[in-house]
Amino acid sequence: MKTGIPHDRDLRAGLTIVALVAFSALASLVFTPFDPNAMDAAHRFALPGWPHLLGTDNFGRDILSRLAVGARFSLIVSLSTVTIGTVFGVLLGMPAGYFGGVVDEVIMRLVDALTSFPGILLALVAVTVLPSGRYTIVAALGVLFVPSFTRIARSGTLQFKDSEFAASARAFGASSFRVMFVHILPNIYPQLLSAIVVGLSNAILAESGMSYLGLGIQPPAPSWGRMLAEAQAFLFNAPWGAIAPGLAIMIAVLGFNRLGEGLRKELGL
Amino acid sequence: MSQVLSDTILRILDLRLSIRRRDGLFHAVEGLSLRVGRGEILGLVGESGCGKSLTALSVPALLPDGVERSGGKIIFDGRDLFELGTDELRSIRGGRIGMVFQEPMTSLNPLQRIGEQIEESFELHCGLTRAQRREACVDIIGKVGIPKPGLSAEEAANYYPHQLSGGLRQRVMIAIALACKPQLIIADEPTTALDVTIQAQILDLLRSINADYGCAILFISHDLGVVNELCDRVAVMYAGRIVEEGSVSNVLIHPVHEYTKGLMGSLPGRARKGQRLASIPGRVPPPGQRGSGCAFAPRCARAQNECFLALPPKVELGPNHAVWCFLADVESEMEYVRI
Repeated sequence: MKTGIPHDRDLRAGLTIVALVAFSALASLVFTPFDPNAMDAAHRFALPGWPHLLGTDNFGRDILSRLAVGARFSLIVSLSTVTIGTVFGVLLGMPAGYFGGVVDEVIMRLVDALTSFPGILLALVAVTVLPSGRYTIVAALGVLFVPSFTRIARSGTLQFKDSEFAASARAFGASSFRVMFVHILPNIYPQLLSAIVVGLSNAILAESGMSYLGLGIQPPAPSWGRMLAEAQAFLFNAPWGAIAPGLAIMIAVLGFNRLGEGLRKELGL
Repeated sequence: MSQVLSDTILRILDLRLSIRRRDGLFHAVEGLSLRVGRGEILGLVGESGCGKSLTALSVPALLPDGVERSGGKIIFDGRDLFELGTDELRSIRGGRIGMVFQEPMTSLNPLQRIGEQIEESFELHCGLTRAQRREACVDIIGKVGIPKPGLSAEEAANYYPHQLSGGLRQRVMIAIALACKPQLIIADEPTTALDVTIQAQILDLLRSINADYGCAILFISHDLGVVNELCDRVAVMYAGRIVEEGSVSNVLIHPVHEYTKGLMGSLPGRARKGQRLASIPGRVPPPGQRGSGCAFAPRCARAQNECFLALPPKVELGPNHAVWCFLADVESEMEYVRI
């Protein structure tokens, strides 16, 4: 019998961390210790302690509150990014694997072309050319995730397209579309799921990177990457300003990574 | 219908199937002709690799990648299936031709409840409402004999394939094939993967479906015992061609072709208890290594010179027995055919 607690250590650790990050992101919707954007000149560079548990930054803003709100933006951006990657990856990869031949060649060469650009450069160009805003960053990062999901969807489809149940679905009159999306897709869901979770950790890192470069969510909305960038100037006077978002990024990435790894093992891949 | 209903549901004429490989084109099926009457059970018998499964798959145009039809016609209910468009073919697959495959363990989608898989067939072909589909599904589950004490048809519909045994899964496959009351069921070795008692049950089921629904069955097998039990007529296939064809009693009781005789001789039987089973020396020549003459000649004990040079003609031994062999002597074989 299955118990509620997973046996795998990676899975347990991953679930715990992801739950923690998700909880603080959700909690920030209803409660933060301080207003994350309220400046307080009297309490600039406050040391971690009471009432500012993780201290304040150069404008006297509460770092813990900003971290919690930043978690929300990180999660929203990375979830949307990976969703885009998954949806387009599946829509491109499944027909490529299923039909093979010319369809496969065309789709996979397009995907190769996309991969051959340095990812962050492509995102930078997109952010520069397109109007800035959270949708732009999501779209720019999302495109970067399409190739890997296309490959996963393609290889999963290749694995199942000649399976007997796909053959019998065709034999009772199912269309190619139906065989792909009703019969094969649920069967490659395990591969996709663990790739999605690992993708989330990459997306968090990529989003932080973009924000660090000042290309993510626009100020004053807090984001981990920009908090890091802003604290950089005061690294030697007030290191807690950089350590907190840095640790937050590391912990979130670690959490999703472990979760993905744990799922991969749990799903027997 | 403007068309006159003939008594033939499926006619395969001079079918040629080729396998495309890197080193050339190989002919797996070379000029095969077959006829399945309405409501008839035709057995197609042959060794592994003789092309019988490809022949079966070619009927609903489901040939695997790399295999192509290089000639011939497949006429189903008066229409050449190779001339139909994709949509028409799809409505025939599952709607008017049902397929039952060899591997019940893997032929069902492991992630769908069996009820959903049966209903899918109704959804694709019959245009029933959701409630009607459910009802029809439960009905057909009952018909193919899945329910047993402690398992009602409604409960069985909610099972996943892994919760059922091989025999029950094959019944599900038959239910899917049967769902839209097809005129023809193609069963490709449906009992090979099952153990003997279950085999007998599945054969009973096929027989009762044939009687109740009047659908013809093209039954592909390498098991002559099973064919003898189930089929009305039998066609024996060797290396991509039919070598002998006729009613089961004619062909299996009085085989004329040396290959059929060899097959019959290699069956274990009470009369030969304690003796070694006979076997046919050699093996089926793979496509591409067949000579210009009779493909069986190299293994045939009675082969003459002419056998290696030209294809044997069709010899009609009677209204319900034909053989493709130079050595068939019409006069001496005539007597039993009238039985």
